[in-house]
Amino acid sequence: MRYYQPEIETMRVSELEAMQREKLQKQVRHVYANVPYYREKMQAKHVTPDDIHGVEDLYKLPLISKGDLRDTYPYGLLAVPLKDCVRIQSTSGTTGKRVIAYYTQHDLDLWEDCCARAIVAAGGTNEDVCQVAYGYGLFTGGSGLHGGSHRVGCLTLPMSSGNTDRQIQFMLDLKATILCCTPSYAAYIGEVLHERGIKPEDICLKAGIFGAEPWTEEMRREIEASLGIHAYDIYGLTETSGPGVAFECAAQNGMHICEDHFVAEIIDPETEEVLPIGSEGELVFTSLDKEAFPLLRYRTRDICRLTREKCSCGRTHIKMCKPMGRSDDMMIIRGVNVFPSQIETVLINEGYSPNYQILLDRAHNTDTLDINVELSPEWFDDTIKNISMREKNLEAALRTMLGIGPKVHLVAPKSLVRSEGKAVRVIDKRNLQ
Amino acid sequence: MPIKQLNIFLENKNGSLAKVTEILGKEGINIVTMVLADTADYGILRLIVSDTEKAVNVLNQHGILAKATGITVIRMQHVRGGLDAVLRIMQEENISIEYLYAFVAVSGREAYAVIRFEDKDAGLHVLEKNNIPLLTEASLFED
Repeated sequence: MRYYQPEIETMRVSELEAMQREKLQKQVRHVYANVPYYREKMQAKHVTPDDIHGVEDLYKLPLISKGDLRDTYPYGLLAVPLKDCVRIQSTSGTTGKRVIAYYTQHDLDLWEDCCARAIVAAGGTNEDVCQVAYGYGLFTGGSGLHGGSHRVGCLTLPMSSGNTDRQIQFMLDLKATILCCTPSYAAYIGEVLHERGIKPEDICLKAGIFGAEPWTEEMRREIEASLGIHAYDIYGLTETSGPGVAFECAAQNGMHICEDHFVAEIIDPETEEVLPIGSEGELVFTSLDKEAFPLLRYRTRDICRLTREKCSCGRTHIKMCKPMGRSDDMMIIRGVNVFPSQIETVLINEGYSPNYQILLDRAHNTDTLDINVELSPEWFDDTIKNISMREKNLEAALRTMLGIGPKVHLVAPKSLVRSEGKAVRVIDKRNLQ
Repeated sequence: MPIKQLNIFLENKNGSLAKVTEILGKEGINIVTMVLADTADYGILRLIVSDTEKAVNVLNQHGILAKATGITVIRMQHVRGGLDAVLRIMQEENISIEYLYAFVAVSGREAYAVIRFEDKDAGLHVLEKNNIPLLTEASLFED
């Protein structure tokens, strides 16, 4: 089994383009007819579905971004009657920035197909035991790979993330062959195995499908060595459906975008102008056949590059490189999306001055988040107890907002650098590029 | 007048303590005693100085977080078991102490213990009941 859907994955580019043309016209008509928000945006640009003949006309459509999704929360972008929807998923647990995606059965099917393609591209067949150690629940990682694993016919271990002892026990006892999780969790499992004297040859893993956060080639090599596997990257966003929008093949040099479902463009994040293939810029996705939550020209804020070179795996779909950065200030910490503005909101709510500094680093292959916050003079007295209690309370409030736990350090008032222009709020020492 | 303690928030940075002593020295403020409580990130410096109000003002002007709080200072004979006798009473009366530091009077005959009670009123009540004398600002500097 080399491909999950060979006729689509290896389709001639000309045929693929014809398919995209037909699907795009239909998708734009669907959106225009059923989502007033899009219709108004298109009308404001004097565009109608009749102006969109194919991918070459995409530039005529308005771009949308996370802000649009938040403004229309929860159902403003729904394109089918709610009774036709069977599932929602959501972006990582953040009050201010929550985005909800809804799915019809058709939408789930195409998403799971994409994940199934990724598993097969990593060498998966119905003889494999697939350990899904992404979080289950609102997060798309668990359910996406879970569904894909079912489609391929793997024996699926719905582990969810965490409880490393149990992960390792099942990995050994049930002879898992494929591991799906965040790259940092894979690295952590590798470390724990090493500590316990379990060698790569003692486990049956052969491949890993790792995504939801940025990782480097060095990390890939480390994980591959510690687990004795081939490690493959996978890309996706809750907004587009979830993981599987793009995935790596055996060539391990870029991720094939499932072009029969999603069209990618690269734009200049400043001018919003479409850039030619091969340019570095912001990745923009348009869905081609989603029913409940179609997206037209969604700005991912991920900076990357596309290539349409012949791939040794035989797939014809265009490839994207690993995202090289962001065009906004979003941070991805332990797989969770975090915006500095969320931290600011908590500080203000808790009565602190919004002067802070975020330090990102890695310890034991896991992201660490430290936040320095200025202490208000009125809260200072002669005891340490008082300050450490404040730190703990603030940590708890931040954990509730961000979904991950930071370490808070209260520092002297006015001790954090104030720059003339844009404040340097984030110091990222993780060195992921 | 009860004794005032000067509390200073110090970041764990090279020279932050020296900056405090430099300012106090320049302003002619004398340090009677001091103790530093440290954590991984910061320290709280607690001092008894000759002019607490002035110290707070000048330190704040230099951007250093400093505050004055009232503190209890008891007088003991500077003899073996002097402090133990006091603490024994506190224990018997169930009085919790947040922190304590001590220094010896210039004369060498008396010693002083600076005590932060968890419940100040209860602490003072026990001291009074047991006739343990307090140090006042006036007697501290007439020495």
